[in-house]
Parts: sequence; structure tokens; C-alpha cells
Amino acid sequence: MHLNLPTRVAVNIFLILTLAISLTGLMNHYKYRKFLSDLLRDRHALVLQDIAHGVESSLSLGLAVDALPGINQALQSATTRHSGVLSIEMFDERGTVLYSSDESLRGDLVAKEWAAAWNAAPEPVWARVEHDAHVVGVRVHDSIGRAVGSLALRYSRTDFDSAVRTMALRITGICAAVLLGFAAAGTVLAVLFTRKLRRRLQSMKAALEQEPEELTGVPDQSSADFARTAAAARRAVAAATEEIRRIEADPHTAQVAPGSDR
Amino acid sequence: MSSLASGAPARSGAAAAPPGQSEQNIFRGVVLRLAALTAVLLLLSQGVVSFFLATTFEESLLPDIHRKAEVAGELAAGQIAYALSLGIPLDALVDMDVFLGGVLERNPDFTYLGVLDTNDRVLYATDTAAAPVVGEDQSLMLPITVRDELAAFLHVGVHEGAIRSELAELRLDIGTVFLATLLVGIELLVAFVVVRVSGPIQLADRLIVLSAKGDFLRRIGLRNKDEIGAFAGAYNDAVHRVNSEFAMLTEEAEDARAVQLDRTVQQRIRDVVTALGKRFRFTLPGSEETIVPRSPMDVRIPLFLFMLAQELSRPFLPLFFDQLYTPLGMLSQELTIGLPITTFMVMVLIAIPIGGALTDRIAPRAMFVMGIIPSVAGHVGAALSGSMVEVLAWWTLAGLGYGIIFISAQAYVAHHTVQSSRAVGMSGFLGAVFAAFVCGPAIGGILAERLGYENTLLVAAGLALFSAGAALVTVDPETGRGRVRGFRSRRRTNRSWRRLLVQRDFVVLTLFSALPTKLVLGGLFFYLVPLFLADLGNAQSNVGRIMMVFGIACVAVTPLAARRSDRLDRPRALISLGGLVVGLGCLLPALAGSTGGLLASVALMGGGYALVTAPQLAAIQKIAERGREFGVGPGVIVGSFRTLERIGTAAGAVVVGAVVTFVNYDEAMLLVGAVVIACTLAYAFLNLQHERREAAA
Repeated sequence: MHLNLPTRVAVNIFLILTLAISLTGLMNHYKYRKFLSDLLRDRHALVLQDIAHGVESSLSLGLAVDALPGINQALQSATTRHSGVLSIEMFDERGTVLYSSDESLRGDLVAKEWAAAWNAAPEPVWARVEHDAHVVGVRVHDSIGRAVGSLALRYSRTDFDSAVRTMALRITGICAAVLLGFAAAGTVLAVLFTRKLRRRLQSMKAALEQEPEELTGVPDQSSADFARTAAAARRAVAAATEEIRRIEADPHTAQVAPGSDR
Repeated sequence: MSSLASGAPARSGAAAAPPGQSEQNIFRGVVLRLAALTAVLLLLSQGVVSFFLATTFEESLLPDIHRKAEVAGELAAGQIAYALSLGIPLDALVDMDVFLGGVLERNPDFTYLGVLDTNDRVLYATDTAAAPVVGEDQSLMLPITVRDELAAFLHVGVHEGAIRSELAELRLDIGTVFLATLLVGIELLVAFVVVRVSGPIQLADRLIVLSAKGDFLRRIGLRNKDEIGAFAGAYNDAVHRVNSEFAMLTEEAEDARAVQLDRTVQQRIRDVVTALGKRFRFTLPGSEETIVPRSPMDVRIPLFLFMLAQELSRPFLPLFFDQLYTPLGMLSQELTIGLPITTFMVMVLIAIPIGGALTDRIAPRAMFVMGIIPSVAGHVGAALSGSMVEVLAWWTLAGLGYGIIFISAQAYVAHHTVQSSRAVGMSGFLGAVFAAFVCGPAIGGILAERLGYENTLLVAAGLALFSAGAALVTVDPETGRGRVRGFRSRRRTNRSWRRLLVQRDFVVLTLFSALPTKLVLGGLFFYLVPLFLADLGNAQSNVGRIMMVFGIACVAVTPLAARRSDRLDRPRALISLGGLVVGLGCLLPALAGSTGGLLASVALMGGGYALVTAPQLAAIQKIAERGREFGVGPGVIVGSFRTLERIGTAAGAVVVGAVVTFVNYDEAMLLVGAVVIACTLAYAFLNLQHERREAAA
């Protein structure tokens, strides 16, 4: 492949810029993903905290945790009011669903991972990512501060996944555009920065290709020396050829062997 | 094909003229300008990308930020509506400032909260000075309704800079990427200029000088299709033309001689050709010796890429092993997770002499490519491991690859340097190792935080594979092929060891300086520091950045230490100073058990390590110089010293692992620091005693 010096330098610069911009793009992509995920989690946690506030008010009145009035309706209302929410459940410390926006789930056991996440979370809000949904939970305390269960809200990850995918494409586009722009600038500057070196190479090449007397300007010294020596060598060879021919042609000395074509 | 080793005198006895000062300046100028160009382009491109991404993120995330603010506002509005539904008049709500202040505190995205009546009169507010203008992007007006009738408005101010302040957290990461990629870039550019530009031009210059004296025996073996290739082609054509004309002459002379009966005439013809041969040196056209521009720098890029791949896992390796921990016999958890680091180094220790012997039979390039196989397999296997035993086996295999590649690169450098230029060649070799030492942990930390340990190991495997590809392109396949040297007899080696281990200077240097500093490298830097930093709550990218400081300190201090060591001619003082600095670095975390303390500790350990390394080499060279006096060759002395050093590095992780079984991380560092300081003081004392005795004698 024919690549001149500036192109080779530009290829190097392109590789370096690709590495740097890809890493920056990758970091930004992960930052965006985390920011959006946190934002959605916090938003849904707010909904749960509002419900938890009502539940805790009822508990402080001395009502039993499995006999709270109006919780199912509150869960259903929150589910319909906030788009993207798939279901809201409240489960006790054994993982049994006490209330749910989908009443058919009452009495079922929640996934072990939910109970584990609820127990392990250092803060009242816990979160999990499942293959089809994100889950956010809020711990519910009774009047003496004892955790009696948790509210859990499942929300669709379709919007999240689509937003992340779209942003990944935009990041790629921006990075590619910046990369191409700077690579082009790098190529132009590489041409300028290697100009002196290329001039020197051209001068060396010219000195080698031209006869010493044809050299114009200030030729490269060592190349000019070489060209002079090469020219001298060729002249010496030509002179030697002449000399041999002269010896051959001399009638006083030449005694040609019989059978030769001379 | 052959090559003129860089710095070696040209063949055929003619003195090679060194390249002119102006030429050196051109090359230096090109390198400097290209490095500056790369730095500027990197900086600007990072800035532009960051700006555009921040704008795009804001545009994309603002609706979600507003939606969250709406939800939070609606909840607050709902509570106010509840109070109003109980019959409390809007202007008689009590403790509203406390209520609104609480909502503001729970929602960091809010800058302002105000309650307005239906006539837009502000009744309650957090801080009226912070109130946004109604209708602006950062302002939300939420209705408060009681029994479906509008009763009031809740005015919410949203913090629009939330995204920018979140993205500002990336500044450190972007700065790290800038620094690391700049180093990678300069590394690539320097190697490119040396291998593709200055190397061929300097070779051409040497050949031109020879040819200018009438020597037309060589051609430049360069197939580059660029300006340098064109110049080499012009040179080769010129040499070929001269040799062709001479060949035609000799043919004509032969013909002329063949047909002449008179011997005197035959002699006259022969004399003409011989006289020409005395003035110039010709050869048959096409049979000129092809000189390929080869230099030790050929191996620099593949080696750098391989070392970079190896260093990517540096900031998380013990954490990764800890994650895979399963009990292994009676060993404690701390000791077990240090075991793969030790077996890796042990395998390096075994692979180096075997690889060294093999590079005398197999060309270094082939060895390099062969070494990639166990290295890549080790990385992939470790990434896919599910237990401690598996990861131990795979990581040990990776050590085999590391050892083979290390020694094959070293052999390549040795092949292309002569005794006088070996130090320069080796400095290029070490330059690649140091550059990777700086960039690797930083990039590895960033990748591990985003991609996870396993995927980062797979990235490292890919990079190692890429380095093999680079070796196939840049490294000469013929170098070192077919050179067979006999193995040194085991009995002779054993005898050398016995003689060496009774040499007081050698033992004191090894035992009280080399081993303790290598213990710090293998035990603290490779093993304990990542664990300690993670234990202090540092994110993986931060661990990588802090570990990068060790490499930076090494790069900064090594040349100073080497110059000072040469100038002082007394490396022992610097060795003692370096040992004390390393020891002090180890003590720091016990005094300030924070990330800052550990950062300072890593910097001191790196600086101290660099202070010690060059003078240690000078000291061992001095011992090697008088090795013949006690019947051990200089090569054996330096080699034995290196072996013992590597034993120290290998032992480091398990020794420190055993210590942290019983004490905390900071206490372990304190103990190691105390050992290093004690050894350094012993080294200084024993040397002082020795010098006094010598002076008295």
C-alpha cells in the first residue's frame, strides 16, 4: 500500500485519537446509563415513600400490618397514575405478599432475591434489576422503628433500554464526528510538520537521480558526494571500456585467435 | 539480508560517519512537534467530545429530571391539599417553612419551593431570592386541588446544572484517559519515527558515506512505499547502474581477453579492469548485500502493547482473586488470594532461563508470538474461572507467557545492539515497560469499573493478541535465527552460586537492599495496595489512578537517580536513601490511614524504588567487574542477582498475605516498612564498616 509520510503519521494520530475518544465515549455512556437509572429509581422511590408514609401512619395508630384499610386501592391508584409502573406490592419480613396492585398475588411469596436485597440494603431504599423490569423497594417501619416489611415497585425497563440504546448511538455519532474532524486536522498538520523532513528526502533523492553537474540549489552534501563518486565510477568504467577497445583495435598489438568472430 | 546494528560501526572496515547534527535536529524536531501535535489534538478532542456529550445528555435527561421533580412536587402538593381538605385556610397553614425546607432537603434537584394562591401571590417560600421566573425551563407550576377545585399552586425550582455536576465527576477519569493515551501516543510516535523514518535514513546515510568512498557493494533493503522508500529506491538504482556498467565492462574485457593470443595484451586488458577495482569496489548487479534497517526499537511497540495488556489487571487482581476465593487446604483467605501473584512470578522465574536458552535456537520473533499463546490463554482462562484452583492454574500459565515474551524481547534488543550501545537499547526496552506501568493500571481501573473484572481481562487478552500481530509486522523474523549456543553445565552453575553466596558485598546488597525492595513491590504494590484502597472505599478507577502514581514516580526519579549514581560513583548512599524512602512510604498508612495517606505512600514507594534500582545495578556491575577474582563470570553475577530479585518479588504476595492473616492492612504495611528500614540501616552499617576496614587496610 502506497502511504506517504504524512499519511503514515496521520494513521498513527488517528489510532491514538480513536483510543482516547473511544474510552471517553465509553465512560460517558456508562455515566449516562447510571444517571438515568438513578433518576428513574429515585422517581419511583418517591411514589413508594408516599405510600409508605400512609402505611406507617396507619401502623402508628395500632393497626396490624396485614389488616390495613385501603392499601390495595392506593397501590392500584399509584400504578395507574404513573406510566411505566407494572405493579406495586407490599410484603412482610417472611416475603409474603400482603397487598398488591394485582390482588391475585396476595399470599404469594416474593422472589428470594427481593427479600435478600431488602435485608442486605444499608438504606431504606433498595433496588434490583430483572430481565424484564427494574425493581425499587422501600422499607416499612412500625411505630417503634422495627422493619415490618417492604413496598416494592416494578417498572418497565423498555423505556430505559431504548433511551440507553438511542444515547449509545448518539455518543457513537458524536465521537465519530469529532474523531474524523480531529483526524483531518491532524493530517493537515502532519503534512506541515513533516515538510522539512520530506524536503530533505527529496533533495537527497534528487542528488542521487541527477548528474552532479545538473544539481541545482543546495543539494544534500552526502548524497551529492555519493552522486559525484557514482558519476566518477561510471566515467572510469567508460574510460576503461574505451581503453580495452583501443587495445583491441590496435593493429600492432592485436593478434586475434582463429575461429573467433572478431 | 543483514542489518547494521544501531550504533555498531559499519562493515568492511570503513569508518561510518555519525549522522550530522542538523539531521539529528530534524529528527528530534519532528518527534517533538508530532508529540506536541498529538497532545494538543488529544486535549482539544477530549474537550470537544465532553462538551457535546454534556449538551446531549442535558437535552435527553431534562424531561426525566422534570418528571421526577413533578412527582416529588405532586407528593408535596398532595400533602398541602390534604391539610386544605381538612378545612384549614391556605393562609393559616402552620410551620410551612419547616415543611417546605424538609421537602427541599429530601430532593437535591430542587432549588426552590413556594406556595402561591390563585392570584399568584406568594404565601410561603423557602428562599424567594432563589425563585426562578415562572415559565422558564427550570420552573414548574403544580396545581393544588381540593375536591377538584383549584386552591393554590406549588412553584418548584429545578436545579438544571445537576447533569453537568454529575458529568464533572468524569473529569478525573477523562484526565486519566488523556494522560494514558498521550503516553501511548508518544510511545507509538517515537517508535514510528525511529523505525520508519530516522532508522532507515540513518542507515541510508551510512551506506551513502561508504558509497561516496567508492564502495558499491550494498543496497538498502527497504520496501516502504513512501518518500523514504523512494529515496532508498533511487540509491539502489544508482548502485545497480554503476555495478551493471562495470559488469558490462568485465564481460567485454573477458571477451576481448578470450580472443587475444598475446599474453601481454591479455595482461594489459586485465590491468585495466584491476586498476578500476582498486579505485572502486563493485559487485555483480543484483548480488549486492541487502542491508535492512533494523533496530532494537522494532520490538518496542509489540512489547509496550503486551506490557499494557499485562498491567491492565494490576489494580484489581487481588480483588478479583478475592471474589473467586474458595478455601484451599489450610491456607488463610489472605494468603490464598496472594498465591496466584506468587505462582505467576515463579513461572516467570522458571520461564526466563528456559526462554533465554530457546531464543538461542528459535528467533526472538517466533518466541514472542509463541509466548502470546499461554498469556492469552491465561487471561481468558482467568476471566472464565469459577474457583480459586482454576484461576490459580490459568494465572500461572499467564506467567509462562510473560516470562517468554520478556526474554524474547530482551534477546531481540541484544541481537541488534553492540556492547557499547546495549545500555541505550535496553533503556528503550525499559521505556516501553515503564510506559505500560504508568498507563496500564489507570486504564485498567477505568475499564474494570465499567466493564467488570472478567471483561477487562478479556480486553487484556485481546490487546496481548494484538501485540503478537504488531510483532509479526515490526519485528524481523530472521534476527537470531539458527544461533545455537551450548547450555552452561549445571555443575558449573552450582559452583558459581556457591562462590557467589560467600561474597560479602553480593550477599549484603541482595539480602539487605534488593530483597526488601522487591518484597515491597510484590507484596505491597502488587497485592496489598489494591486491597487496602478498595477497603478504604475507593472506586476501581481511583485504585488504578493511585497505582499509576507508582509508575509516574518511577519514570520521574529513575533518570535522576541514574545520573546521580554515575556522578557520585558511590551508589551505596543512594541505595540507603532509596531504602529509607521506601520504608517511610510503608509507614505512612499506619500514621494516616486514609486514601490520601496511601496515595503519598505509593508515591514514596515508587520514588524510593526508582532511587534504589539504578544504583543497585551500578553496585552489582562493580561486583561483576571483579567477578573473575573469585572465579565467577560477570554475566553469572548479574543473572544470579536478577534471579534472587525475582524470588523476592514472587515471595512478596504470600509473605504479606500471611502477615495480613493476623494483622490489619495498615499494620502489615507498618511491619514491612519496619523490616525495610531495618534492612536499609543494616546495609548502610555493614557498608560503612567495610569501607572503614578498606580504608584502614
